[in-house]
Amino acid sequence: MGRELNIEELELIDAFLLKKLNKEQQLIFDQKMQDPIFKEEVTFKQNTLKAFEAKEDISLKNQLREFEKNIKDIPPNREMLHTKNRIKYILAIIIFTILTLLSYLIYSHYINPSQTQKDYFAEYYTPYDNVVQPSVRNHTPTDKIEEAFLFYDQAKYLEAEFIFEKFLEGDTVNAQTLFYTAMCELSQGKINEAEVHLQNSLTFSSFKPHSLWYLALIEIKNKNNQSGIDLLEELLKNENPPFKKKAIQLLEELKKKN
Amino acid sequence: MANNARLKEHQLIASIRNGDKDALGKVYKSYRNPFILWALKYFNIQESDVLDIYQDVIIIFIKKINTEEDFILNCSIKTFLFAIGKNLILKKGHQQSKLKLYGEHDEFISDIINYDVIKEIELNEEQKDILKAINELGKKCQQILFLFYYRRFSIESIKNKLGYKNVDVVRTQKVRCMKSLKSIFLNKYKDIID
Repeated sequence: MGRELNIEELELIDAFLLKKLNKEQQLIFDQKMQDPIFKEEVTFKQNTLKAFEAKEDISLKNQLREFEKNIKDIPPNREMLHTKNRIKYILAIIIFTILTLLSYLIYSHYINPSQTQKDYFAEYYTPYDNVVQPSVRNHTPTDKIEEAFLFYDQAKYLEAEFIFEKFLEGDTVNAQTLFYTAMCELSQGKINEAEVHLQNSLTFSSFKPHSLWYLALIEIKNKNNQSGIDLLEELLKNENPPFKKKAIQLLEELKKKN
Repeated sequence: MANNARLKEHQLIASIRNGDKDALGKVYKSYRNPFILWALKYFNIQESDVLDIYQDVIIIFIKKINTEEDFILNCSIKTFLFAIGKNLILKKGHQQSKLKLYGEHDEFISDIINYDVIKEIELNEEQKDILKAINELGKKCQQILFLFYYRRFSIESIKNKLGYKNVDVVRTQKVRCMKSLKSIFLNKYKDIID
């Protein structure tokens, strides 16, 4: 061994190893590297750093092996990956099916509860025939009421409703006007308006059974089955009521469903 | 990532940096199976290689946080590990089979791309002897030299970590330890080789 390096020289080497040399220090360092003793110290410290890296690597690898020993499950393999994918696939199908069913239930019970009843309404509803002023071919109507019924027979419900409404606004409120106004409204899907006019027509005896039938259909459409049943039973209390056959059939179906 | 989860990960990294083996074990176990499944799914890779690759990934991760004092993780640990993994697998020459999920890790790759692929450190004869000499040093000296040269701790940080009175004591002790190391090396090993 030759001379010993002083503390400044040792710290210069450390700064070099830690890559902390500034330009000025770098120049000094480069000059010092001409000195074999200085150069030897640099090499020794570089080798020491390398040895520490190796030591740390060995230590880390041993540490990881220890962790691995303590893990009970074996590392996953491709078979497990496929199994996992299969499970995911099956789970996705199950979740999709459940969501579809839930959506259907929510839709049919909360969003559109009348959906399941609509079939009854569509099946049983037909606009009542014009029994007041049957149209005559090639005959020009002479008054407004005749014109309204002509429109009604032609299934021009909006036009017919317009004229019937005019009568309702005046003094000529009667059972037939109320009833046929309701028929025009029902045929156009104006359920709420039709219900009001049918309720009003119950105060007259002439179209009361007819109104009961259509009110029953409205209740069933609105999923108020029990109210529908009550109205049908009230209708059937009449002697030879209109829609008797249909009313009995519908009543049986509803009672079965309930 | 939620701030709370970020904070927990930063605490975890700080613990690993302080040598907490439990924290390291927690990270190792948490991402082992997800990493292996991910690697098998997206790379044509041998099942027998994948655990070794994962361990290499963890070693790179630990080295990065241990040797770069100003290292800040700007993504989750998982994303970082997977990014290292992708880089490592591609550098090792494994063909990629699917590209679908790569994008989520790509933004971190540029930061890591120059990080050397881990390999067994091959020591020359002199370095092997120095390693032996290190193992013969007293524990305190090993610690000081390890912290200074490998972990790149400042003298002030070593003083705080090892509980020295002041930085001058640490500085002197470091020089003494280095001398002791060199002395063991020269007396015990260098002469034998020569």
